[in-house]
Amino acid sequence: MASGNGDALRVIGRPHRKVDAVDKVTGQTKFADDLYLPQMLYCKILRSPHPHARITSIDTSTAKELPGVKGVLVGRDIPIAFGILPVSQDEHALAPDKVRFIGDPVAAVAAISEEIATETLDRIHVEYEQLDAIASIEQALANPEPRIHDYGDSGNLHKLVSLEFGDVEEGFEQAYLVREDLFFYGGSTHLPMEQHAALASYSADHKLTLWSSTQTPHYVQRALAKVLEMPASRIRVIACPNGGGFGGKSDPFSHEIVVAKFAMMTGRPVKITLTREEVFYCHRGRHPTLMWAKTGVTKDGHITAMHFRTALDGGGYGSYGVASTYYTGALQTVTYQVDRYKFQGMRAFTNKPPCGPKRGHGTPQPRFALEVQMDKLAEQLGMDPADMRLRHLVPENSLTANYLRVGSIGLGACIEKVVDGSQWRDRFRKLPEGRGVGLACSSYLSGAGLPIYWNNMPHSGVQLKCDRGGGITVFCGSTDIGQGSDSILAYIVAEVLGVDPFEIRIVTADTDLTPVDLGSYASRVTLMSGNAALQAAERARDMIAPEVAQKLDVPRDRLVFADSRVFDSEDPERGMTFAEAVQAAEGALGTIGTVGSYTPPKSPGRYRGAGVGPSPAYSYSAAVAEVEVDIDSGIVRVLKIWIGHDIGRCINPTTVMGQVEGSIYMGLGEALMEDMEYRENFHVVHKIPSMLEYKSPTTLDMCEVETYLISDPDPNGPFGAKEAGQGPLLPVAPAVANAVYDAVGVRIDEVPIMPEKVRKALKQKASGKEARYGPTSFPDIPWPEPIHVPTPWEGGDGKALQHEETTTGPPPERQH
Amino acid sequence: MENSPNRPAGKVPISLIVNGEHTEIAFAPHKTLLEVLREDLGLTGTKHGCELGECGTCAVLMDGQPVLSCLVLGVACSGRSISTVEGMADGPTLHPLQKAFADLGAAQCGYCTPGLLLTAEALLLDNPSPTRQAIKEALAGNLCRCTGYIKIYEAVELAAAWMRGESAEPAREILYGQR
Amino acid sequence: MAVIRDMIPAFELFQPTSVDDALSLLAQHGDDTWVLAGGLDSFDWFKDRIKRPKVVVELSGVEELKGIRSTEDGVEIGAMTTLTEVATNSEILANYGLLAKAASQVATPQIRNQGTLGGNVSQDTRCWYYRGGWPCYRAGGNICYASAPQAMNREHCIFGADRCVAVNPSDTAPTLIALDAKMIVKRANRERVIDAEDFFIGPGTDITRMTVLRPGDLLTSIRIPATWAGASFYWEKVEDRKSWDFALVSVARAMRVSNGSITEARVVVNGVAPYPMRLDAVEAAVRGRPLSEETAQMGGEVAIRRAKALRHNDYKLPLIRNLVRRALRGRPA
Repeated sequence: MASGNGDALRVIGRPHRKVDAVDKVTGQTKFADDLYLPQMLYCKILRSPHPHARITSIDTSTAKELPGVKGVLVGRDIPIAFGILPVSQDEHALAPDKVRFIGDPVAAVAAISEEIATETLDRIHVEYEQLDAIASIEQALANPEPRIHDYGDSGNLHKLVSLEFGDVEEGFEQAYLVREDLFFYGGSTHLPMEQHAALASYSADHKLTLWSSTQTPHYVQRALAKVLEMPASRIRVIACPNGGGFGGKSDPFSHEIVVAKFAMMTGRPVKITLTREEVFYCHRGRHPTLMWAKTGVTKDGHITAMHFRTALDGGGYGSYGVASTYYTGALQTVTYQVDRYKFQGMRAFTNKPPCGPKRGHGTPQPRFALEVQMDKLAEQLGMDPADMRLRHLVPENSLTANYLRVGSIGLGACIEKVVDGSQWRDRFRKLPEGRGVGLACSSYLSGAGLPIYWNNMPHSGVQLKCDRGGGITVFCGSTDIGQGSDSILAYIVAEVLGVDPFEIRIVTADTDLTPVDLGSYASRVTLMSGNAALQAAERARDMIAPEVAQKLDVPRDRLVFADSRVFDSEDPERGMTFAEAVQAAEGALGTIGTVGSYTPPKSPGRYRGAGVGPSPAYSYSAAVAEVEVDIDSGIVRVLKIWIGHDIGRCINPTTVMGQVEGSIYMGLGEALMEDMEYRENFHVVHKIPSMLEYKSPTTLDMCEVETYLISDPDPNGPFGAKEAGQGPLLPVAPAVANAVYDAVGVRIDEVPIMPEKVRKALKQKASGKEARYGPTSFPDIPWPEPIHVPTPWEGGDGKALQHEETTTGPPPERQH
Repeated sequence: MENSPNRPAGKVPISLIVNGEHTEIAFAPHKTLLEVLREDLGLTGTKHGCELGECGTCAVLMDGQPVLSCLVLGVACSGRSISTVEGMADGPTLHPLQKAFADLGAAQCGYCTPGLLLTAEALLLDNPSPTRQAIKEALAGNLCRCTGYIKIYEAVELAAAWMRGESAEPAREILYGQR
Repeated sequence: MAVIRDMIPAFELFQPTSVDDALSLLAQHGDDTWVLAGGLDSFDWFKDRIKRPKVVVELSGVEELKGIRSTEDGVEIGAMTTLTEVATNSEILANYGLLAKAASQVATPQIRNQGTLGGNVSQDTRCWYYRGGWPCYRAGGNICYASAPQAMNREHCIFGADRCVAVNPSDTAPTLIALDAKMIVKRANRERVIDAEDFFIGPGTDITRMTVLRPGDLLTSIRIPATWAGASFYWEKVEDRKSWDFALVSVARAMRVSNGSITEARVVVNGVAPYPMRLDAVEAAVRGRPLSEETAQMGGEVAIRRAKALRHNDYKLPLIRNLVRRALRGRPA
């Protein structure tokens, strides 16, 4: 293995506390709102009460005069647009001329107390000219005017994508059975327990510091540099430990820019903490997605062709939406062999809080559709759905129809584990009415192959310092959002240098102190910053080892770094402490510091849109859900979920378990009760933006979970590790839907599976109609002519057919 | 505060016991216990997730009983005893619940952790050998978005065993998953 | 509405230590006075700044409002007694388990430690249009947003609509009616004893209030007579989540059975009308009937006879029908 310390891994693969665990259980962890600076001002933001309106005037004169008010900002004060993607620079810190959803920031106040800032919002007078609001995908299609944005593919359609790999019609002709199904996956939000907060300070020497609950300090720094027109070198962004992120803190946000601007204006530190209601407006959650899936299979379930259409309800701004759109079509091909594949995706602008990346980013929706459709296909073919999947798994080290390179794939083992664990073969289609089991699988990225903005630099960097006292400090831009990324750095460096992980000091997520890591999204951190840390640690070992070898007169290759010592593997007594080893190296070489960095392998796809989907390694999951359905009320109770997750290798099995169990939890909420509901009347305000009305499962709602971790080290992962934080969410909703069908014989093709829907489907079934609840039509969408890409097995080279554009230089759309 | 348009000047002085120490403090009468703890006493270990009693994050113990500090007026705490997460450890020695939460990864982002620890502490004082169901019921007022609660149940069970004087260790499948 | 507030605006606070002091404060400050018990309902209104009382009378210091006492004819519960105490009190558990069970399912453990029985029965409706500060009938306006054609009204009423379609959210209220409890309401010089059934009012009586309490009134205690002590009880609450949530519907039933026949029953449902609703027709229909599946089926049908669903709450009809059936099957609470 990479450690070079013999076969035995001493740290990796064993349960450890997280390095920040003691701080977290003693209340010492400083989240952004826990920071107080002398002379600090408090900021509050005034938000739009209208879903779609032009701002005709803003009067801040009385607000500015109130005692205790130190500043008032409106849109024209911060005129430069920003956005997470280079192609969607459509947000303003404060709306300059137009508001696009209820909750869109319009003005801001900084005052000496939170109380005064709050009261002052009432003294800002905004006049609006209301515009027709676009509330849904259908309305966006039907109403190109009024346009929510003056960019995008047409009218209120933000993005249209059309890709075809091989000839799907030919594939359908070869199929024994072709199914067309419609699905809808409702919107949900991250609901981190911590409300977003940010604190800015500006020093007399014109340096700006921002502490924020962000998952992406590097991108926030870039946005601040752009909007504030300052060199990034004078901006320091420190990501505080996040009290939960799940993707909801991955965009640069209005409030971060506003407090920075106020700090520059006033010369005083300025803090904002969003209320829970505002967190709902920040959103960037799961896109409500309508889907049409047409799949052809042979008699034994081999997929000859798949044609997939998605329509995403994007909300008021771009956010990650272009990437989200591509993601609803990217990963259908990486689980079961798909011979020919066509994807058409559309994202609409609507006057609702913007959608973006939530755990699984764009992939849980199509995965739900695909896995429920697989269940239907298996039933029609008279096959066991587990067997059908097992028979057609994508082979390892292969290319998919859309040019994703699959390395290791442990999905077969995952399926077998959950099938055995749940006694599937004795129970599927055999349980009494009202009880059922369902199976579904999934896959997710271990980091995206391409960065959000075009560059050829590493995705993650680590600096490592060894001091003569034996201390090691690891510097990395990665951000711990609770998933344990700080700990991963410590475990990996500890393994290589043979020290206790709790002896290592970890400095992360500080753009002044740490080399860039792109952020905590796309399940990229363990693999990417882990590889960077591994490289830095190996380089340190390679600096230290020769000096020790010389001092001890032992061949270099016999040296072992372990137990905070460096010693001869054949004579362990012969050695020195790690501190002495560093001293030996420092005496010979000078200060001991190394760097490591990681850039993902180049993806073979060369067509426009190929930037979304590639990953150094794909994780796989399989889940069986057992449900109980009350036939009178339609209430579904999930009793237990068995999950197998292909983790490559566990860096720390206990934290992997935590990620898997947490993913099941969030998936369960999406499957059964979490819903971003909007009132149709009186504009499209969120039903009620509160934690009482947004149903996050309590202890009494959570199901039992049995977790199987499948080890199958992937050559691209550090010590073989792949991701765990997102993939295991994906199979939950389809497994539950399939189990509901097994229990009561109705298909719920829509998430969340609320009692009302089950009851309606049961009613339909009782009256002899289609025993189903779900969408009944897919709208006509003006799809562009697809980009045709021959599949690898047709001799394709990853490029689109001629006369269609191919990528030369930076393609316009490439994101995580 | 005094400059606020709608605020009558004047703070109300009260005395209370915070983490076992007598504390005299004055603050505006409409401040919640949560605000008093975080802003006036600097005890930021108590977190907030909604400030409306809808998440359980701000739970503290009042006279040993878990309450939501966002829904208690500070002035209503006069003469009462308040325990926060800062008071759980015995000097450098973690409370068994804190140790178990740390050992099993029951704290992921750590934001809901203080409220959960205190609520669990009250449970174990009342019931040293709670069943899994009793733990679920006791913690049914604390949302956690990270863990799915499972590591939390396991940690409470482990801590309960330690507090009963047993030399318990976590089962293999808690740490490594099912074979 | 994008209200976005989470801090309480300033008010003048009084903390009386006796009922008399509390009553004179209420008399003195009139309509602008807010009675603060456990605070669970009040803080929501304050922080949203939709209700901004000038004066708050906070009752936690009034010891005589707390505690559970046996009386000659039953039990008397101080209005400031916490729901946890109600749920765990041995006499209530032994004789009036219906109330204990309902109290034990209110919201969450923390909230039950803080929330009081008096507060639980006096709380305002949860209709989110109203609570969101929309100027509806109940808020003094002239429209009901929740019954508009495109309204989201899954939680709203199927009985008793009168301009307003909000429902009473209390879990303990229907059990108190089933137990024939008496509410003791005081104001400056007067004490009234009100049947629980009459304590709750609909929009037809006064659209701005959920109970008979007017400014100046103080609910001091709740007396439960021995009439139903030790009877057969049934309680069931259906909610979206198994914790925290208000009932979508609930049923409370007290019943006496003799020789296999129902001699007397009180059946009360909540979450279906602007007030906890006693099902007199069901009670009359099952009286004297054998305790049987047939009786249960019939009772369930009778329960929903006059029900009228809104756009999104027709599920409440079968739900109530089934709950009443289950209640009449005679399984213990």
